[in-house]
This record gives sequence, C-alpha cells and structure tokens, in this order.
Amino acid sequence: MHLSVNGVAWELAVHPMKRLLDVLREDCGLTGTKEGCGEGECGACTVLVDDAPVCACLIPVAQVSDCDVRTIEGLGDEHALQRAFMDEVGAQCGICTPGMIMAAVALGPKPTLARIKTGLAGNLCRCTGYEAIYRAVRRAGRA
Amino acid sequence: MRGAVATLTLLRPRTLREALDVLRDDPELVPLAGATDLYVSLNFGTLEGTRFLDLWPLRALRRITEKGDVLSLSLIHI
Repeated sequence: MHLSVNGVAWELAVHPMKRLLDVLREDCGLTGTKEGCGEGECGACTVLVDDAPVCACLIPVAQVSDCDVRTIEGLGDEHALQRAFMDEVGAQCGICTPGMIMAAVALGPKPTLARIKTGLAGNLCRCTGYEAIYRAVRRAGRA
Repeated sequence: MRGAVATLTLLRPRTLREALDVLRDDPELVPLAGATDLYVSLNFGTLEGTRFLDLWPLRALRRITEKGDVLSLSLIHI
C-alpha cells in the first residue's frame, strides 16, 4: 500500500480496510491525529485528504492510496493556527485540537466568523466552549 | 478499533464494467463507497457482510446531472 502523508511517501504492508486513522497512528507513527468517537461524529480525527477535511476513522486506507494526506504533524510548530491556538488558549485537554486545527486549515485564508462556525461544526470540544477556538482561527487569519 | 478488519475482503475494480462483472459473478459482495456505515457497524458488532466491492475509485459513478426538473445524484458525489 502506497501512501503519501505530509509529502512523505510510505510503502506499507497493511490490510486495505484498515482505517486511515489506525494506519497514521500505528504504521506511520503519527499519533497527533486522535480517536474521539470512532464514528465520524466528533471530528477529533480530522485530517486533510487532497485538501478536503475528512474523518480518518471512517476511511479504509485503500481509498487514499493515490491521495495527498495531511495531518497535524505536517503543519509544523510555527504554523499561524498553531501559534494562534496557543496565544488564545484554544486548547485545554487538547484531544479535539489536532482535528480542529486541520478543519480550520481547510477553511482557507481569513474566514469570517460565520464560516468558521459552520466549517468547524463537525468538530466537538468538551472543554473550551468554542469561543477561544473561534478567536484563534480568526487571529490566525489576520496573521 | 473494537472490530477486526483482518476478516474482511476488499475488491477494487478498475472500471465500472469490471465492477459490474464482479458483482454479477459474486452477488454476496457488498458495494462500498463511503465507509461510514461500515465502520460504525463494525464497532457495534453488527456488520453482516465480510466481502466488499470498492466503488470509490470509479470516476464513472461521480457525477451530478440535471435534466429538466430531475436532479440525479451519482452513488459517489464530491
């Protein structure tokens, strides 16, 4: 199974129906992507596949063999969203944060508050109450 | 994850014609596009099939067409 993750080519001997989430965490060693519900409801496992946000817990790895997969590790520590989430305290326990940030990446530059709320509607947070997250995404958009 | 995928089989036809031929010859195959219901059922232990036919790569099934008052959505639309 050939897989491109964060620009790096992987050749993996994995079952074609292994979840992308499990392949990323177990076979690629990229544990930044978290499992929240395993049912596509919480968005914690959000990654980008060909720039589109998807729930990695619902995707057989075979279906992304020709795609560009991007995870939170691929952003790097100095990405504007990473810095903004720190500065605005947009994370408390942090479980939702990687998925939240990847979903925010998919919003593109300078999203409006309405677009942020809609775009992140599939990413649940039990800690922050979302306001700090929205501030972080808006702050990153202004950076 | 709670369910094991090792017991599952995924066939990946390269064309729609190939998919139809395989499905004709093996009616036990379950067509699969997005896998939401599959993995939810696997987690709950209610998954009934074990052999799946992956329709996701088939471009012929990815279209939305409008003819008069009728809007047709393909099996897989992005």
